[in-house]
Amino acid sequence: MKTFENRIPVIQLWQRIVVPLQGDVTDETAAFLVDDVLRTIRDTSAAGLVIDVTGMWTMDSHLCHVIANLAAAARLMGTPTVICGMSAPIAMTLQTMGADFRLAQTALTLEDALERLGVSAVVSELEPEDAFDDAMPETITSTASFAKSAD
Amino acid sequence: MTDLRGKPPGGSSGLDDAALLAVLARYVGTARAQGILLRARTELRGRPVNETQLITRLVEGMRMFVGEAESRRAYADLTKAASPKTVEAIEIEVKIEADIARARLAARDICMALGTSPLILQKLATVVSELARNQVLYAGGGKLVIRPCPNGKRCMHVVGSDKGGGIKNLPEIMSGKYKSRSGLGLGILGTKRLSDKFEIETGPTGTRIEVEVNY
Repeated sequence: MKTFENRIPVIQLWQRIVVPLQGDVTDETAAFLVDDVLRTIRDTSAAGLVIDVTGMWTMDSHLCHVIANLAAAARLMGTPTVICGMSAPIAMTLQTMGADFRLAQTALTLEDALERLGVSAVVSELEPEDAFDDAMPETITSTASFAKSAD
Repeated sequence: MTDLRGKPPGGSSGLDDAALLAVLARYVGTARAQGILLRARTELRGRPVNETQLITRLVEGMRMFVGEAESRRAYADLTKAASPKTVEAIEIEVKIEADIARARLAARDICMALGTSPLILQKLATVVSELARNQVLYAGGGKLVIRPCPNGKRCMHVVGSDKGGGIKNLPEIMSGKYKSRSGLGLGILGTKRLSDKFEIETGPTGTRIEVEVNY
């Protein structure tokens, strides 16, 4: 059954789709994920798909297979996939097992992945006074008073 | 999950609360330590408690107050305080798909209790996940036992056994030519590649796979 707990967010970002996988992804969750992502690709005609596995603590061959299949299906729909954020222990484990993602590109970070899909960021220096809008100083005051009362 | 030492279920697990509290208090102060222990006990009420599960809960409770490195140190300290000798075996009945996730989380708990490296944790969790998945998909369920190797060897020992119909095309699978419909065909072969010792017996009355991962 599809419930709140086994849904993974599918984020739309500059005509790209970002899917952050987190924690322990069960087979059931993975199956819903494929469904959700492919539907979103069709509905939004996304130009690229990023699967971010930074938050995953483990990945076995089944999940690899699901992600590889998702990438292959996305490619059939004309959307390239980049997988990013794989931790060193997971990478070494998958390599030892002989699993690989031939149909998807890989990138180290989410930034690299989006760049690979043609998104380039313009980052300008943030002036200290720009960092907060009008509502912010109040929040900070209230936090400060909370810290005091906690003592 | 069954505690192999056969302790009675419920609150009195034979664990020394005072020892655990003393360790917790070193990290988060006495008042918070008591709160964390109380909550961990409440969450585990009505189930057989083993040390590993309780300690995992305690460290989860601490995470709000201490950093990653400190909580890992606390985990090792708590394990030492709870059982001066060994981390105990965990037995898991694997029947449905949700048990696969439960099994690999148990593997993680036991690795954390032993203070193994992240790579060994990853290897063991993956091995357990593959074995459990095969049992669910092909044998209609089975049983997994995860424990530290006996006689003080620095390794983890996993035994997966089921009463399914056996693996008919084992040579083909082991040669790497086999590709299953549901995966990469890497369940057994991948497990063998990840392990430092691998034994398999399979026949029409069931399959037994024994794996060791050194740490």
